[in-house]
Amino acid sequence: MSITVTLNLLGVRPFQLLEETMSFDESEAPTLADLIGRVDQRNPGFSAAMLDDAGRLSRQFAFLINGLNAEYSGGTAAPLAAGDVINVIPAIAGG
Amino acid sequence: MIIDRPGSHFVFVLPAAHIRERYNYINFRGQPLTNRQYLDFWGKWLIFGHRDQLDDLAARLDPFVEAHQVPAAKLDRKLIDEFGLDRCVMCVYCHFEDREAVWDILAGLGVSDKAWMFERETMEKWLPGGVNLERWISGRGLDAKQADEVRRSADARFKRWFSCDDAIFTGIEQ
Repeated sequence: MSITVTLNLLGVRPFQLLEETMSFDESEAPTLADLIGRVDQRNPGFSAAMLDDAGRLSRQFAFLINGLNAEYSGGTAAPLAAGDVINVIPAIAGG
Repeated sequence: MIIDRPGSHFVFVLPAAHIRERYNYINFRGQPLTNRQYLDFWGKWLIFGHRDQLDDLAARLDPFVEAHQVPAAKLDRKLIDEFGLDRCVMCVYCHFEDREAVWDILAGLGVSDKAWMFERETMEKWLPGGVNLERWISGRGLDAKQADEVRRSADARFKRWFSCDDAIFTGIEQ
């Protein structure tokens, strides 16, 4: 069984996504890191921009899963579930 | 009430009672927040759009602000181009416990992308080492001494605002 999630870049200038909706095999227990890796395959440079040298989420951007910062649910290890909407915003937004 | 002062970077949507009677819109169920509660619970929905779209949304949000169903909002007067944003941002403020009720109002006005941010997150970005403050410093080409002074000043300001956890939060200069 597959799960489908949606990724939106809000106010993020450098990237134009080739696809916003992605499906994962549920048995993979996909995480935010998996999603970033998947996007990077079709949008080279995405991982490098969104992750720091240690592989953590870059402080230049915030990943929000269903509206809440992914840092509160494990950062790159945050699990994804069917129907999740992941919005990425620049860190500067909102203040 | 829409407060649009050309000298300010922001256009505000505030309850008229706040302007006329000092009504404190930063509250939870009518109780003002302490500094700790403010940092732990107060935040905002971020909405991205072009200025004209956000002006339109502000006008439609205003009655909800007057009815105290939405505490307050503010939007960028112009694009913050130096930070690489490609759209203006509106912040719609509320207590974390009220966020879904406020979201329902926003969704009813056509907003579709959910992005919540705690005020604590914003503050931390403007503290020494924070991503926004460091980017601001590097963008102005400050030398090491000037940069340290900016960091010291930011740190002192935060401590002045939040030195006592249990004191009633009294606002931040903008």
